[in-house]
Amino acid sequence: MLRRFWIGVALAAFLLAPVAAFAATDSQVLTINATVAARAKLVLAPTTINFPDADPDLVPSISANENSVNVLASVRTSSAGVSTLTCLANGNLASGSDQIAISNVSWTSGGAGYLAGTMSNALAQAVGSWTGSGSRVGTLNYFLANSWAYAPGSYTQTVTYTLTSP
Amino acid sequence: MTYHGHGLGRPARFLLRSRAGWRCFLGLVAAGAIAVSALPAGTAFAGSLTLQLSPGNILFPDASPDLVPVIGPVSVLVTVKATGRPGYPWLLTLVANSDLRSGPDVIPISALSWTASPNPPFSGGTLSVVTPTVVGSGIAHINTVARFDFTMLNSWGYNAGTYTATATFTLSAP
Repeated sequence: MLRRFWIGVALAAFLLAPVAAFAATDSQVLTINATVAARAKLVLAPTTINFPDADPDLVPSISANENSVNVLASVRTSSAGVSTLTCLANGNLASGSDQIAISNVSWTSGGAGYLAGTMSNALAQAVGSWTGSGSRVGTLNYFLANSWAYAPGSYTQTVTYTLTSP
Repeated sequence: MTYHGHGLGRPARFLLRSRAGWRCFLGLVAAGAIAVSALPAGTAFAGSLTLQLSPGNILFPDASPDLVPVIGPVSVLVTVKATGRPGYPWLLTLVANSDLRSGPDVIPISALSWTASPNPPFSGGTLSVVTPTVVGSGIAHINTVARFDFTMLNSWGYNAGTYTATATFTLSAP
């Protein structure tokens, strides 16, 4: 009887011993940082447009040969930051001493956030406005109001486009 | 053992055997309890593990998305030492704890990827907050320094800010 008892003890020890934890783990944490700074980039293509000669009676509004001009306005700003694209002519269209008022040049636009307008050499005109970061594609189509009053000549002028983001 | 005091005969013999059986059983239970308590608490049979990162912080600098569409690589040396049980695998996993955040602004953590060497036993992938990714595995033992090169997709769509997130490497072995 006593022998059977100790056999039982040995058997119980084997059956009832807890299953030891065999798994071991080690963990390490990697901290990841990224810096995103405010920036702006403007691309116009092409950068030169030409209005051909035309009969004012037949073509009262002359379309630029290069229409449409492609615009890419890319900005990084805060989520609520408002960026703007403006243009300011550096003077009237000039051919020697002859001039055509730059306000005779206007444009239409395509693409989200882009605006139509009329050229000015006195006050920057709005061309586009957006909120937050992003890269916005648009198009601009330019027109020159035609007139019998224009003196013959080759007129030229430059226009400065400025993209600003806070 | 039999008992005839109340003429119970066979049933009584059964009862007395049962009593003896209970005493034997109780002895077994006691022996089992003793056997359990005899084992030191927290006994573990796993091998040793060592996991170290150098550095423990990495930084992706600002860059023009047009000029630098993918930022990096930024390298992390991962020391992996595991002395496991013969025939059993060791496993190294990586999981992000969140997206990259700067206040309310978020860059998805999936913008980050890595390559690893030596390959095998280590492998590349893309960070995830959902599922730990197995980045290394083998049988029994490992003692090496792995190199993880992290890159980040660049985009004009990211709002300006200083973003941060953490990711956890976990080494396990049976």
